[in-house]
Amino acid sequence: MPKVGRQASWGLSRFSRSENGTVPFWDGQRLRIGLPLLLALGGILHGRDAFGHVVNVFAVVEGKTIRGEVYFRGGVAAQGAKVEAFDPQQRKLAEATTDEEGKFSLPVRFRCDHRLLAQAGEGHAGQYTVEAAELPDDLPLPDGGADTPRQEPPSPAASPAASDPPAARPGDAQLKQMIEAAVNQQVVPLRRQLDRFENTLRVRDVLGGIGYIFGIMGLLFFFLGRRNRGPRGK
Amino acid sequence: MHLSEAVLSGSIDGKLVLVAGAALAAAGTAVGLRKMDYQRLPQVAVLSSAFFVVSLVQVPGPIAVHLVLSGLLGLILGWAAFPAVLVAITLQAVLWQVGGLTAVGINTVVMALPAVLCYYVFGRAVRVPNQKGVFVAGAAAGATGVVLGILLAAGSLLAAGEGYKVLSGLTVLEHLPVAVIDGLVTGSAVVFLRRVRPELLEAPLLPPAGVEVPGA
Repeated sequence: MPKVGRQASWGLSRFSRSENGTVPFWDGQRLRIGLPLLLALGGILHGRDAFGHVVNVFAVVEGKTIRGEVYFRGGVAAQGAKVEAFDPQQRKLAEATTDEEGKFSLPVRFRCDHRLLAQAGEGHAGQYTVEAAELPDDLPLPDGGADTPRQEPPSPAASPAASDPPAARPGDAQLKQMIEAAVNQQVVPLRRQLDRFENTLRVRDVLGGIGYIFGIMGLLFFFLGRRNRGPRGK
Repeated sequence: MHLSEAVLSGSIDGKLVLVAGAALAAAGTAVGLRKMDYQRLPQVAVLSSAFFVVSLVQVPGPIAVHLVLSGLLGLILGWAAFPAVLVAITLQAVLWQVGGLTAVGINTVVMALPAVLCYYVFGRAVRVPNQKGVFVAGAAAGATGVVLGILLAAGSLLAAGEGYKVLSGLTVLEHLPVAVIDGLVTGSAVVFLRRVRPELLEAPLLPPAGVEVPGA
């Protein structure tokens, strides 16, 4: 048991010893050491929401285009990032580069899931999937589209509306488009805000991680301690 | 510095890099666990969490880069840097979506291998009895850790056939300010440790310059 007690006062004795000695706590020496550490701490607090590594992609469908933006965690736009769209069979469908606001747009040719992969250099990448259900009905299915489980088989409903004149009145397609545009205008900012919110790193994410690390340490102590104590028959 | 699985898993070569990284990380962690004794668990945990959090320290520059501290980890932990880094990187992948779970292996290697190398190269140098020497050795270890790490990351990307992102040379240059700051932090930390907890570095107590410590 005394051994455990010594372990528990980890570092404290050493600190108090040097403080009780002739050295005042905040002399120049300590300041010189402490300042960089303080600066580092300041950096942590400052950079809390600016995790540069994580590349986020956000995209919405507008007609037959996917418009989106690429940004680093914290909201800084990723300029000149390469964005590629892949179908579920990993074939490349389109490619674009982001502008100085981190925005890009890609043409949509097929009605299938579009996996968008954005690369912002140095192995940093993010992805986002635009699901087939979000895309307009009148797009052709990709060849080999039977492999994609998400798609319903081609049916009259999936064929272009114009080829079915008796059912659709002339104004319908236009009206639908207008409604879609209006809804998009209202919903897209909300989705963007939600996306940003989801991708913000919060204090609890940091503290949670530290907690896990010490939890793992505690578990190891428990198991190793039991093993160490075992032979002594305690 | 974290490599992303989204980039690496795209090609066969990239997948090989992921697998090789996982194998190396497993081997390094096994060695680390074998060499780590029970008494050093708290140190490993403290440095693991320091490494976990220090990724948040942004160094301003053309692209966002952050401190790594692998030099400091190596100097204090030696081979035990591997399990420490592995745990921290796994948690970063799970909690912060950095890199991705399949890239944990290669990322561990990229940041823990330089730590172990720093331990062998600078471990002796930080045990010298004068403060300037300790600081310089620590700073060199910190900077070396960053540079080796970025070279490993660049090498992995090259091996995965994603070389065009590296060949610009920008990646390495961008990390020079990080190397400098990491060096300053590591140097200061090592000097501080020599003052208050020298046994962490397996070295004798370093008295503050010009001060006689009774009994030292």
